Amino acid sequence: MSSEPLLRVENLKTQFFTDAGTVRAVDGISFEVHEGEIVGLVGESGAGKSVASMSLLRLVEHPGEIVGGEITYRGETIFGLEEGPDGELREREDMLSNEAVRDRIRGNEIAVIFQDPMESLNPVFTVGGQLREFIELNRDLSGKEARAEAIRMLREVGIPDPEERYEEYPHQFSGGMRQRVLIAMALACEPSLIIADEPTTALDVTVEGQIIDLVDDLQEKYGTSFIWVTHDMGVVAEICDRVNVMYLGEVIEQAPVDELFHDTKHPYTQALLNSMPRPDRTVGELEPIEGVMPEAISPPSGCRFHPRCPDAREVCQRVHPEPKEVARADGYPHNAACVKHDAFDVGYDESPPLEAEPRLTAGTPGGEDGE
Amino acid sequence: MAIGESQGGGESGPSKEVEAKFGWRHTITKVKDDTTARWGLYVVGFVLLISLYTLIDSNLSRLTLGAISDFTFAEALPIFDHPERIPPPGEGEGHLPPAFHADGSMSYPLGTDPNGRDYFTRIVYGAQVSVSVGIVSTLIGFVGGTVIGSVAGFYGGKIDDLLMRVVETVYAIPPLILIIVFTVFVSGGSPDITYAILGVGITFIPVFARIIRSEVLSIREMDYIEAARASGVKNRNIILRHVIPNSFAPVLVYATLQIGVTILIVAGLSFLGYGAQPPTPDWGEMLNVSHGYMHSNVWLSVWPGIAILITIMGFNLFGDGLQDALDPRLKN
Repeated sequence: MSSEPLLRVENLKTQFFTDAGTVRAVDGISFEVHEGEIVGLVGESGAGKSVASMSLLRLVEHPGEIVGGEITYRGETIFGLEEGPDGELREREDMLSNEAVRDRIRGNEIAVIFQDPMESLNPVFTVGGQLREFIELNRDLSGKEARAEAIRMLREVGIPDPEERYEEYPHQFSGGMRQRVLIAMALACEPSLIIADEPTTALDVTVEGQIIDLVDDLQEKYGTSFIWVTHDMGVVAEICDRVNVMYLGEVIEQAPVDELFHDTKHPYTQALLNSMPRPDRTVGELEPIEGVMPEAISPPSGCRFHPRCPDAREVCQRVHPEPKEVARADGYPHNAACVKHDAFDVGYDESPPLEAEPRLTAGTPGGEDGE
Repeated sequence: MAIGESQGGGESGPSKEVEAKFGWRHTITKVKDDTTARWGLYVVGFVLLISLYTLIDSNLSRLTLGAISDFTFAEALPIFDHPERIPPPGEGEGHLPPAFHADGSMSYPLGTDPNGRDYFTRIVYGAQVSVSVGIVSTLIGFVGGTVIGSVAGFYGGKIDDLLMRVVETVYAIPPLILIIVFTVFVSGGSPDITYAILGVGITFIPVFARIIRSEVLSIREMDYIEAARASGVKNRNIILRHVIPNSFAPVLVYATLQIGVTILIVAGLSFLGYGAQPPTPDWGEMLNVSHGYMHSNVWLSVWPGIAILITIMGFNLFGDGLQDALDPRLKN
């Protein structure tokens, strides 16, 4: 792409310093978000998707810390490090201060829609009151104007009788309605980028469909960019323009959505797709990915996916692949981090395959990366 | 035409039955339905009314403070019959027994105190002292505890450690001793009801701080806190708008019960001579004076005791009822 991207993330590293050791929740990911684009961030639980998206707003909680990389939003540095005179890494001078990020970026420029609509609204205040307060906070509007704007936003996201429902409390709203309110809240200050952190995971499938349609419509109307964090490949196919697949803190494949589905370059992405029922294919049995994701505290050597990879060969245990461009489509690179592609040239073809049965990886199931 | 209006209709679930189960209206209904809580509410309301009345009636307050009163509260009320006015005995000339006694008079339904002041008026006036003592000192503990507890719980880490260690140190000292030492120290040796209120309030900050903190610890993990942070809300506003309002209910119950406890403690302090000083008509102070007359007129000790008993029972019953009403597990 010729123009400067809206958001550029380069080699972002977020780590959690726990008693058990350093958890490398996000380990050097890079991606870009352009204007008006929906970018997917896909992966299993514990892949570091949420931590990555919260890092973009510098909202990583103790004991987590962003330890490296660069986040640039519209030419402004949200996070950046440089080497000081004493050789220590220090924050760059042009990095925005905490106050600037809080007052100008969060809510105004980059908004977030959270996963659980049941818990993302304060139960003791009315829905309208919260929306109005949020608008008052981020835009210079009087109380009355903010109220009108709040009602307009509620109508915009398809809440019937917005004047009446303005006065109601969150518990009087259903899950789908609350998610609509949260979307209204995110859109209220007309941010350029919305991070949607699994916004439909807690909803049932019909409501999920409605919400996705709504987001699609609103995205077209306002031209907002989205980072859509999800583990659902179906949602990705539905809504995203480009996709980043994450595994254990790394982006292992990066491609426009059609490319990803039709010309999958990484075995993990392939395995994810195989484990999902597809209406266009009839299979006797779905193929789950063997094992569980290892803990990010001590990732496997070489390629992090090799213990579970059906294509793993001896070389995969030794060589840690960085994502490289393996194809090009629609002017975007198709990056994959798998040594089986020619671009890597580390002797994959000559390397003997690992034993057929992929080793089950020990570890607690679920995300243990401090999310 | 709103986008997605047609889709929205299916999931709107306005539920009026649900509405009735939450909020203040529901709480009040619950309290009204509960017999003991209702009586608690009546008693609290009655005591509050009386203290409001005595606050407004300056004539009354002036006269109760004076050494000898020729005004009787009973005269203002039509329920007592007072055909002829017997002049009260002068100071040091002894005191009248209650009206039902052979030597008593309906002008002084509860008799007079050793200084010749109408005891009924003083008991009634005592309600104002007790209620303000209870409310003000509970409020001090409540506000102080809320500030300390919410800051400690919300920020965590070193701030939490520092604040809570201080709070626990205070908590470890027996309250009555702490209050007496505080009162004597701060007042410079001449204790007064104001210092007692202050002392009791400060002494109970730790209790409130601990309750609030434990609430805040769970609330700060809620998604709406994270959401507020992600939309650029300052920490101070997150605490004020999101954390404190959500940690309110259990503390409110505790505060109601605490009012009763505080009244009792301050009455105890006054009885020991560290609280209200004569001529302030505080129930504890009246007990202190009257215990010297136990043999000649036992009623002087009985009336303030009954007043304390009723008031505290009222607050406790109301607090219990409020607890039941606010407990989501008991919702039927």
